[in-house]
Amino acid sequence: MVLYFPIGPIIGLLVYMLSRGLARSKAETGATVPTHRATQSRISIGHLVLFGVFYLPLATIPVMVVAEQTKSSWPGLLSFAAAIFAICMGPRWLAWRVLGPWGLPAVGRAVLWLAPSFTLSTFRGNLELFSAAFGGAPKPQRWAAGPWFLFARALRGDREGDPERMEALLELLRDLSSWRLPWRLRGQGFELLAWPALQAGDWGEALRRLAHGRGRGVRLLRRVALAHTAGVASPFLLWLAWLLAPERRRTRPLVLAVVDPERTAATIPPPLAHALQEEDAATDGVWLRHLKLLAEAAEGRPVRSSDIEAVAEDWEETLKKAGRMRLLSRGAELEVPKVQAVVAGLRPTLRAELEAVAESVDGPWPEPQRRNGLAAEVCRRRRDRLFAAVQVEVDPFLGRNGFQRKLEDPLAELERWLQFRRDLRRLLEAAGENALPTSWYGGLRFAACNWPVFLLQAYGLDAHWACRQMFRWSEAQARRMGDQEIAKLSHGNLRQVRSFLA
Amino acid sequence: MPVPSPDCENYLRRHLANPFLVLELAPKAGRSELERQGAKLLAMLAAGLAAAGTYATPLGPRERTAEMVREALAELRDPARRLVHEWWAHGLAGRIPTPRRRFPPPPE
Repeated sequence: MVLYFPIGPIIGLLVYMLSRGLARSKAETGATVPTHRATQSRISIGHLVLFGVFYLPLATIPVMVVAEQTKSSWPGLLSFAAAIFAICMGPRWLAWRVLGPWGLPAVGRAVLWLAPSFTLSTFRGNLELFSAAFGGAPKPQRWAAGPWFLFARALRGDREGDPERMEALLELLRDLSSWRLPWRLRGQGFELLAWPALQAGDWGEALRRLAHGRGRGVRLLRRVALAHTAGVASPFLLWLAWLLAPERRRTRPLVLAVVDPERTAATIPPPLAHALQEEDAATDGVWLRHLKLLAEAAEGRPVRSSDIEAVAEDWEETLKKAGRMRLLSRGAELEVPKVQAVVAGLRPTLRAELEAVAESVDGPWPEPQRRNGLAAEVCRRRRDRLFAAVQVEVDPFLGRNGFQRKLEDPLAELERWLQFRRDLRRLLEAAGENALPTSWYGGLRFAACNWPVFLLQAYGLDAHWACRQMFRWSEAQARRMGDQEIAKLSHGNLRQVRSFLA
Repeated sequence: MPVPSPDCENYLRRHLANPFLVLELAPKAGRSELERQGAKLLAMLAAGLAAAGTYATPLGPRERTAEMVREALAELRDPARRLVHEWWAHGLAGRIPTPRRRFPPPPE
């Protein structure tokens, strides 16, 4: 009798999920596109059946044992809850925290395969992220635009030297509360992102990747990275955080490196040195400072706009009359044909190189004082390029004949949208907030509102999670601009796709 | 956070492959001196001498190959390109960490 109470609702819930698991989504837009209306399931039916016929009966065994020994029904209920908890959490804990870090990815994948998963995205996402983190080939036939695959692709991209995907994910996490992510990603997902940076000794980057994470593991890694960057660490609090955190065997060397740096100097990499050192800047000639700027940008390190301006101004000094005359006379000695054209070609070449460096400026860049100077030209061209990058994504939404671009797979579209968002943010940082109304009423409003609609219509559930984030962003931008029409439309669309079972 | 720039990497690689850096000669070196140094480096590289395998740049040592030496010699045969390379080499002169002399100076 004691079993009827908990099992009844669980079976009811399973039946309800099966019946509602076949979902369709629709959203509003002014345009029409070919739609993919095939019914898709988001429920992992195999696991639901496995749970019903195997795990649930398994959970009743301790209840029966306890029920035979006690008269009260409460111990039985508690043991049932404990058994369900162990069945739901145990296999994943074993795979993620033990088998993966211990170098047993094949066994870990098998355990994850059998772990109860009620949604397909959780099932496939766990397997894919586990493979990306601990070894294994990517399996999905189509990359659904969800958080699991986004984390998995960012991890793979980071390992393969393609940082764009990591940047796309971090762009999303800038304003996405980590509570909106699946539980595993909120903690261990961020830890996995930070591990490559920690192992390379890039503590600043590790901190950036851990910024929005939660949980004991994230707290420990953040504390370790802070100890290296800020130089402040309480050994007691560090050991306490280590004691509470998972994967203590793996994180012990990191804690020792902070607490006892001399003993572990050989095992922990030194902090990455930046090519451009402050003290050198004053003594280096403009040639060397130019090379150092190129080196910074080539490595993907942020470059300060003030450094570019200083180098540009020094180039102008160098190429002034005296410098040009020296070049011309040396050219005459070498019998250079059209020597004036050769010397005149130096400035555009340097400008092109500084423009490439300017791509690595992250943050505001106020208009340089000398409007005709090299620095001002570089600054203006950077803005033009950022504006063009945003406009390239907006243009397909402005055509009279509907959407004029072939959609990629859902995850590639989400990454593309995040890159678009990043370009817009950089444009606003570079050109000021006044650029937003110009872009918004120049077509950005249509792109912001309709992109997720087209995606949802084309891919349905595979793009469901991404579309929620896109509608949310579109609504926020519209409210910022006071555009009630787009805000209302995006809000309505968001309400339609927000519900898990709707 | 910016992403690594392949354009900047290419520009940097080109600057650090400045013929005067690759041949480890001063910008004022004459034609015959350049050719002799080039021939010597090619011979050393062909013999597999480790000393010829790297050269110093302001941003640290770089790998030197026979292809780079031939390319450097070809670049310096064009007076217009030589002028630009000289200008860069002049600007970087004194910024290169002094390498230990790994092989004797070319005979005059």
